[in-house]
Amino acid sequence: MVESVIETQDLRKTFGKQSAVDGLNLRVPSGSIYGFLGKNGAGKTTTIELLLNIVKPSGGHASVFGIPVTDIARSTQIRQRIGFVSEDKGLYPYMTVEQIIRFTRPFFPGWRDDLERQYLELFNLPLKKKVGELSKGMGSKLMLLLAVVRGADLLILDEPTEGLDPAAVEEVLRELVSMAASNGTTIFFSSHQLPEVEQIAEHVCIIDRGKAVVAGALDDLKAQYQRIQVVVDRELNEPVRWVDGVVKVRQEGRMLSLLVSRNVEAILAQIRSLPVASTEQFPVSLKDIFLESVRNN
Amino acid sequence: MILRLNPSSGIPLYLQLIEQVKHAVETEAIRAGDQLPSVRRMAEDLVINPNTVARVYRELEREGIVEVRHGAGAYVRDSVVSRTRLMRKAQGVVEAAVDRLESLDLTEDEVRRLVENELAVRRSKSTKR
Amino acid sequence: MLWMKNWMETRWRFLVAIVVFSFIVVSSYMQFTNSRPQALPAEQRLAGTLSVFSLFFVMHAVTLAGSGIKTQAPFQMGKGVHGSMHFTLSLPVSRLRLLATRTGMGALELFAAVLLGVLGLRVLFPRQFPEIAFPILDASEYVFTLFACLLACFCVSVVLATFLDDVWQMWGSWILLAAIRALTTVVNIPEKFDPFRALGSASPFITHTIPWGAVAVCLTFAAALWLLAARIVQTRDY
Repeated sequence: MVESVIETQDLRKTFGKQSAVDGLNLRVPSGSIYGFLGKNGAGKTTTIELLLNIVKPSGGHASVFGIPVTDIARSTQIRQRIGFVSEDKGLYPYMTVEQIIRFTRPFFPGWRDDLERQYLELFNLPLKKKVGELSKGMGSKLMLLLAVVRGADLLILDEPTEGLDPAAVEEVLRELVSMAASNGTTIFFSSHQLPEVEQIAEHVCIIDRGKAVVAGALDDLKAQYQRIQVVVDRELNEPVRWVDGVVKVRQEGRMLSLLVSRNVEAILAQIRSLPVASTEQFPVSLKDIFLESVRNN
Repeated sequence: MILRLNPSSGIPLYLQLIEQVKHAVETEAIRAGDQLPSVRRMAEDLVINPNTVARVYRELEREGIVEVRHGAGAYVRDSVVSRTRLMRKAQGVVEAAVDRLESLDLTEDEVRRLVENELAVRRSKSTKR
Repeated sequence: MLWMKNWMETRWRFLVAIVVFSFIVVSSYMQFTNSRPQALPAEQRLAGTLSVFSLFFVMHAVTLAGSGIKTQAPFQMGKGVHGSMHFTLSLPVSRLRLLATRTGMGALELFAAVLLGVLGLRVLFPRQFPEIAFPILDASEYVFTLFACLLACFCVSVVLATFLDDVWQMWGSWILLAAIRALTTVVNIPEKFDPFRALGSASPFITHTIPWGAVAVCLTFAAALWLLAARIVQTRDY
C-alpha cells in the first residue's frame, strides 16, 4: 500500500459565515502527479493554505508526510520538504532575482545548484532584474524555480501555469514530469487547464463547494465514465427511470444521450429493455466529467 | 521516436501510445533489437505521466512486442519482425492491384469505394454466419 | 538571511526616520530654547526639554516597529507585496522566528537612533544648559534608560502591527500611548516606577543614576507585550 503524502479527513474551514472547505477527504499517494480541480471559489487555494498551515483548520484533520498540519512544533519539518508556488506568485519585489535565490537557498540543505543553473538558463531569468519589475510569466517561472530546485519531496503548486504562454506551459509540464520521473517527487497541483491535467496527472480530485465530488485515478475515471448514445425505434411515452450511475440524460426525438459514471453493465441491460435501434458507447473527456460534476446539483 | 498524442481525444493516452508504438514497429520506424527510449525520456518528450509510459511498456511486453531487460530498457523483439515483413509483402500486393485498377481508368475515389465495399461485404458475411 | 531581508525592507524607513527626526529635533530645539524664559532653574528646564524630546524618540519607536511579520513595502509600493506573505510562510521557518528577527532588526535600528540622538544632545545641550555637565557616564545611563522605556512603546506597536496595517498601526500606537499617559495623570504611580518621570525630571542627566524601578516596569511591559504579539502571530490566519 503506497503511503499517502497528503491526507485529509473531513477537513473544514469557515471564514466567518462562509464555508470554504466543507468536509474534504483527500489522499495523495507518494510519487504521484495529482491534479486538483475546481471552479473559482470552490476551495482549492484554501485547501492548499490549510496544508501549509497558512490558515488554521476549523475542523477535521490534515497531515503531510504523516505529520498533522496543526503540530506547530513539527510544522517546519513539513515545510523543509515542500516546494510551493502560490496562486498570486508573490515574491519580494525589492529583491533582484539573484538576491531572492541567495535568500532562499540557505533554508534548504538539499538545494540543487546544477538544477538552479539549468532552470535559470531554461527560463531565461535575468539575474540582476528586480522581482517587482518582472513580467507575470517571468515571476511565475521564478517562483517555480525556487520551488523545484530546493530538492523537495513534495511540490504544492497553485495554478503553476497561469498566465504562461503555451510554449512556457509545455516547458513547465515537461519539467514537472521530469521531476516526478527522476526523483519520485510527489506533485500536487491545482489547475483550471483541464488538458494539462489530463496530460500529466495520474490522479485527480474535483472539488466543488469545499467537498471532493470526484476523486480517483484518472485512467479509472475515464474507464468508468462513458457516453452512451441510444437510438430508439419509436418515441418513448414516458421518461425512463434510470438505474444508479446515469449522471445526465439528453433526449431529442428518438435519440438519447446518456452520461454514465459507473454501473455500465446494468445500464446497458436497462437499455436493452427499451425498443432500441442502435447503441453506441463513447469515451468521456475530463472536461465533460468536470462540467457534469460541478453543475449546481 | 516522433510520436504525437492527443490528450483530449477521449481515447486514454496509454492506448494511443500503445497504438503508435505498434504502428512505428509495423512501418519499420523502429526495428528488431532497437531500444525504445527510457520511461523517463519518453515521459519528458511527450510530456505525460511516467507511470503511463511504464504501463505502456508493460503492456507491450505482455503482447510480446517488446522485451524489458532489467536495468537496460525496453527492446523490440525479433518475433515482431515477421509481422512487419508480412506487412511489407502485403504493401506490394496492394501496389500491384491499384496499378491494375488504375490501368482500367478508375479514379482514386472509385478504387477506394471498391475496396471499402469488398471489406464491408466480407464483414457482413462473417457476422451472418 | 532573514536579517538581510528585514534590513532590506526597513533600511530606507530607518534612514528617513533619522533624517526627519534630526531635523525636527534640531529645529524645535532652536525654537524651544530661544523662546523659553531663563528664569527657571536649569535642572527644571532640562527635565522639560528631555520630556519633549522623548516624544520624538517615541516616534522612532513606533515607526520602526513595522508590520509584524508581513512583508514590508520598503520604498515604493511594488506589486505583489502582500502576496509574498504566503511565500514567506511556506518557508521552513517558524512564525516565532520571523517575528523575532523582524522585531530584533527594529530594536537594533531603534538603539542606533537613540545612540545618535543622545550623541546629538550632548553636542547641543551644553550651550543651553551651561550650568549642567553631560559626562559620558550620564549619557550612557541615559541611553540605557531611554532605550528601555522606548522598548515598551516599541512593543505596543509590535502588538498592534500583528493585526493592523502599517499606517493604522502608527496611529493606533500614538492613541494608545497617549491614553496611557493620560491615565498616569489620573492614577498615581509611585515615583520610583514612573517611566515618564524617568525620561524627564528623574533622567540620569539630573539624578546621575539609572531609575531602575522605571526601567524594570518598562522592560516587563515590553516583554509581556512581545509575548502577546508572538501568540497572536502564531495563532492567526494569514
